[in-house]
Amino acid sequence: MNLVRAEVSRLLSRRFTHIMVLGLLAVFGVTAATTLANSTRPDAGVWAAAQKTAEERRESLVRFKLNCQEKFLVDKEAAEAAFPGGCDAAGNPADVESSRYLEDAFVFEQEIGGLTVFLAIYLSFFAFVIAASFIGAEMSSGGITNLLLWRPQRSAILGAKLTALTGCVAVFSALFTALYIGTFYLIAYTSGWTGQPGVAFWADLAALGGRAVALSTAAAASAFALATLARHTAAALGIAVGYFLIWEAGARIVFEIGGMLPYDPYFLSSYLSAFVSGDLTYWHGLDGTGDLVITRLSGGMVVAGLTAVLITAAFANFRRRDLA
Amino acid sequence: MTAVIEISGLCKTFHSLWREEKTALDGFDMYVEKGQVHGFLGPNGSGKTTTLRTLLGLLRPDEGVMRILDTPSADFGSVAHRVGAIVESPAFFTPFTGRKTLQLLATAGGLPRGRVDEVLTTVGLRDRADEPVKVYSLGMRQRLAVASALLKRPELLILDEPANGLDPSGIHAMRTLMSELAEQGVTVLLSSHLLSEIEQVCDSVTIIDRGRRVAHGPVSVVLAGHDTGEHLVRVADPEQAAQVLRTAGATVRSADGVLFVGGVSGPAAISETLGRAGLWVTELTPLTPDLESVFLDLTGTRPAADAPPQIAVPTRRRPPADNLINLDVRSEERA
Ligand SMILES: Nc1ncnc2c1ncn2[C@@H]1O[C@H](COP(=O)(O)OP(=O)(O)OP(=O)(O)O)[C@@H](O)[C@H]1O
Ligand SMILES: [Mg+2]
Repeated sequence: MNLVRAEVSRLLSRRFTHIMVLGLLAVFGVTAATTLANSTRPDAGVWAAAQKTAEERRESLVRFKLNCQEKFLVDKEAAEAAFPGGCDAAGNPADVESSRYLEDAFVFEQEIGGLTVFLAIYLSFFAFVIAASFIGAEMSSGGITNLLLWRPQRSAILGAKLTALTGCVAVFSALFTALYIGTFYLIAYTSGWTGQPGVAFWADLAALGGRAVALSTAAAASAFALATLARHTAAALGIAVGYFLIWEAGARIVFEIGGMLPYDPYFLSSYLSAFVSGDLTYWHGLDGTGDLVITRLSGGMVVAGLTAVLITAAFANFRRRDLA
Repeated sequence: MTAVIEISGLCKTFHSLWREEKTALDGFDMYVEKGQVHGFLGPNGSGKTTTLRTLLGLLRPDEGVMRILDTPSADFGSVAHRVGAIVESPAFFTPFTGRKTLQLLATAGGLPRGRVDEVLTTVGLRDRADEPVKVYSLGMRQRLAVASALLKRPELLILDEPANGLDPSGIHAMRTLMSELAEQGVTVLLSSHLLSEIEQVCDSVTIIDRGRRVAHGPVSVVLAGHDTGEHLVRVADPEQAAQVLRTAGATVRSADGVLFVGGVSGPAAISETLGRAGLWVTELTPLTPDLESVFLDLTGTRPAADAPPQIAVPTRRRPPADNLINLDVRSEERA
């Protein structure tokens, strides 16, 4: 416990940690400020316009459906070719909400989901960099050996560092996510439109926030493992950048040119995306039937499995190797 | 006498993917008795730090047996709380103050807070303890390192070049500290290049060269093993004196009007022989070897006039030689 506390204070007094947190706040500040600047509180005129647009949309949907049903009665085969998705494909008129057509207003209920996905990405990025530098600096400078002379239990020392790091990242991410969502709610409340979020909405949003926290914690743990294995901060960052540049970008182009479809399952980003924003449908088959899907669950399992493998390898290696 | 550190046949080769492998220790032995201040000497790159790192469980040995405080080194964890150590210049976390650095170690080791202030005073950092390590000078960091090693009131203190960067007063304080600790029964293993310091504070020494022990034993015995029994003699007429002494059976070298006389029973014999011949001695000094000359001879690092001596490349030599317990320090051929 004492070890963990010492590591927490080490992490929190690092200049690099401070800079990264400031960077994170800056990204947040810019996002919030642009949202605020582009949003005005809808007045009666704007509401009336939105209701009018929504009404037109509903009418057009009703017309579409009637037209479609008529076609099916006349000639089923031709209609099936013209409307492959059936007559309800364009949407249910009852689902059309006026708030979607508000001009210049930030509507919390509609936009917070996308914003939280964006948050998950940049929280994970900062967590990765902070974690890599936290352990990488110790590994290359020999600071960790100093502690090992006091407690020659390598797993305990490394474990204390990992616990301190992931604990801090998880707590920080949770607080930051709450602050983030809260800020956007406030922006919508004061100069936009919050919508009418119900219990189900908040539950979904909380789950999304939870996944953002989980993803950033996993990113921190993976960076920790990579920097431990490679013994340098730069090596861990290099591996990450290399992966995204060479595999995610480079190999994707090669697959594309070679016509080797579907390639989605070969990329980590597919699983990350499935985990955070929901099932990823990536293939309809050559005849448009039989969707292939990466489910949220399998995305989450890939994230957890990869992190576990890296951490196990890092501990196994650190227990045995020579420390300079 | 019980042994606090016993090392025998220790081998360590560093492997690397893109460098040649380096054999830092090649059948090294060491024996440190309880209560001793034991000096650990050797040229740069001879394997001192590697030995200490291996002993402290930071490196895995390839071969050899090590016991520390009567415990196999594999169980070092069980005696670690009795061992204080610094290995080379330790890397501190520089945003922390000196006091906080020690406090964190003290809590990690379950020591009372007051102990931190005690050791800070011992190493002379009391008044600078609340500054971040970032602003410390080299010697101040070294003092902090020594403080961290003293913190646990160790029974065995292992110090790798503790005097590195210390000022004269710091070195003096270190010497006093060593003797005080020795009086309290603490065993100290001290690696250093300051041979005059070692000569003053150490009871015994081990000299290592290219990964093997080349001499060990009490300082006086090691020195005596290298006593050539020569005397320095100054007389008004060195040439005649040399002749007289040679006739009396002595060996004589002369240089710059000074004679180096060996093969005699003592200074009295020299002054008597010369006096009988009517030659009066103006200076007569027995040439006792000091640790420096012994060290330079044993390790073959005596500076030559033509070229500066080079650091040896650590490669594996023959299979480890039987290390002799006697002090025949020349038994090792130079490869
Ligand atoms: N991590 C390493 N990888 C490869 N070679 C190493 C490593 N550490 C030490 N060596 C080599 O092992 C040999 C012994 O090094 P060591 O640090 O033990 O010397 P030392 O006796 O402490 O020298 P000094 O008096 O300069 O401190 C050196 O030749 C060194 O180059
Ligand atoms: Mg050294």
